[in-house]
Amino acid sequence: MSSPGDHPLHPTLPYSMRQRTSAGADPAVKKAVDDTTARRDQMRREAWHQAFGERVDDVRMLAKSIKQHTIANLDTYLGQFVDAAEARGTKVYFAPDGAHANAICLDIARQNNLSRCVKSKSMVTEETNLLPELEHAGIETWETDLGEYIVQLDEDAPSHIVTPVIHKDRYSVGRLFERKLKSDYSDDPEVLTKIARQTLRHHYERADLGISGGNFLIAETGSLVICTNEGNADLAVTLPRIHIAFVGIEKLVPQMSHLGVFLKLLARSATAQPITVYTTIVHGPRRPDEHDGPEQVHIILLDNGRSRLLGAEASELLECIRCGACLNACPVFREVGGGHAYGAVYSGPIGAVLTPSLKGGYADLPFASSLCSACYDACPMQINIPHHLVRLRAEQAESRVPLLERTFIRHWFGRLLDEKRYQRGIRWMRRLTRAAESTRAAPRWLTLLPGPARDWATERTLPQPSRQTFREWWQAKHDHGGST
Amino acid sequence: MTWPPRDLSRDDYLKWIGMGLTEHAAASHMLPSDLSTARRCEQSPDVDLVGLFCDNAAALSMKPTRCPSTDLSRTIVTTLQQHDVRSVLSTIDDAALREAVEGALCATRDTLTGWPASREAVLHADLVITDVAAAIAETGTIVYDAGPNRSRCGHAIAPVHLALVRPEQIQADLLDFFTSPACADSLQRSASTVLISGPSKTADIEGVLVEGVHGPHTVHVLIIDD
Repeated sequence: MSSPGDHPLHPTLPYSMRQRTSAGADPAVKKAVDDTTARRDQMRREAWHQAFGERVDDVRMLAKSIKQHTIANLDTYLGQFVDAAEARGTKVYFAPDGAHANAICLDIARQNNLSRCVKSKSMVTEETNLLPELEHAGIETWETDLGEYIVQLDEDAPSHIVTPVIHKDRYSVGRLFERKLKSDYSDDPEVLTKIARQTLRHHYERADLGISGGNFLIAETGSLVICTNEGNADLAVTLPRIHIAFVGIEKLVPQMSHLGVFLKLLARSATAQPITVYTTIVHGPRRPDEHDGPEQVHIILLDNGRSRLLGAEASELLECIRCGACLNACPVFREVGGGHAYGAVYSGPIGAVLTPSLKGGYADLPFASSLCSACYDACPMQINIPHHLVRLRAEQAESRVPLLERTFIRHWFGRLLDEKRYQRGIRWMRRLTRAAESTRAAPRWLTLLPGPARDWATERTLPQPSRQTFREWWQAKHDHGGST
Repeated sequence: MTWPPRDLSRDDYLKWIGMGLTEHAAASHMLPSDLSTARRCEQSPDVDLVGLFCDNAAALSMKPTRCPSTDLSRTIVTTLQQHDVRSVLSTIDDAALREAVEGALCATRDTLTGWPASREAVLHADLVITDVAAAIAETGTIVYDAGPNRSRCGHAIAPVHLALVRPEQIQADLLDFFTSPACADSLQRSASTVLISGPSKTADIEGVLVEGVHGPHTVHVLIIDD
């Protein structure tokens, strides 16, 4: 694995979430995550079957082949996208990493004197850690997705790609609203949602900047596609004067017609809906003959380590459409009580391969899996996550073997490759063990080993070496045979 | 060149991306031309698209109603009466439908604001009446786009949305819409196209479904079916 420093597009993800408390310790949280993910996983299966019957795998393969083609020709499609988008008045930027993406966004805000922002859900802005930077620059920013809003009010972190507050119950949300919004306590989700609607409407009406993510980009038309159920993105990208979208470069699809295939899979895999309530396709800023809509649309395309995966096996990870199906299917994700334990923006099985691949480091994540392959079965894009987990483990085994083990292996192989040295080594080993046996100290000298090796040795005895080696035996037999 | 430059230019970046790609991969992954595997609904005379659309829209918790054009005014008025409505915004592209709506509502005490309207009128509308760019039978989806005669947020701003659909606007499959002239028109005419499949909803708190979180809690769809 190459070190992050030797790559010009080395990513700078802000994974400070590792320091956060582990939600896994709380049994109530674990139960909530358990129930939700298991139900979602079952519903996804049913939705797929109900929609496509026996053809499910064909549809998944179709979607995958479109993505494979797009990724293999990414330079062409990116170029096409930029040309088409700019022809319609959208401004497109390339950001090599999160810091640059945020800087571009803040520049736009400064140039246009923007001070109040409403934001819809975006994993990419989690990746770039945008929120603190906006606040630091004096731009009052509100998350508008209900789950993200709750997370923001509670100064917490989202724990699931699709359901950010999977780790919170209605009572904690009720207490949070009472504390932060000074509303009357309620634990009725309906009432709590109404309170959030009213508070956020106030922010929408005053905002001059709307920030969104993007689920897809259409190369042919230069369009940005945002999928939500709440309609929060619709208000965030229509009411404010300026719209800025943060999107990963891998979100491209060639044409409008291909979008249909992905839409058919995305919501069914995420929440078992046939399609998200709102599929908002933005083709550009307000046209001269339109009376409302943003005056400017900016799309910041984020690399952040993605281009590093191109041309390698890992490029398959760029096919992910962020539906969260693998999280719902994963027994480890359930066991650790949701996404916080992964200590990274992208959690669950896909996070365990994506995070080390984009960011480098996170050596423990590829081992946070039982390799049961439930994620592979659940992935609408048929990304072979178990294969990538094993591949990342193998890379580590090659580059991170401890010194002692490395020395031992080097000597061992040195002896295996040279007959004389091998024979000498074997004789030496035999003499040593026989000497130990003859003094009847065999079990005892092993117990002189340090640390855990002693515990291991007290329960075991060394196998006794035979009187002669195979070669000696062969030699003797042949000599004997030769004399008769 | 110091990498990465502050303003990464298009050409530099695309060159960089190109360096990571192989001709072998580009050649071995062809773009599939036939998407019909993903099709779920056929455009054929045997399929009752209006009926299918109504069933699927109802399954998404929208409220579809079929009414003949002669009964349109009365149906709009009775729909409005179901809600506590004071200010109604209409953003309708189809001139005939616009006149019909205006005619229907001038007879009632509701204040009707046409398009273009002030920002205040948009923000405080209790109900928005729109026509649509298309509808999709497979999912029960309506397609709303902006344009000279329609507000960009007309579908999401008010607690109630009333959408008017003509039967000939209904496409069979989602795939049909994206290759249809209606979709191409929408791209030409408008800077945004929105597929709407139900009332605004969330299940973020304990998975309990709540409708009307940011956008409408009720979406009425009137299919003008003669």
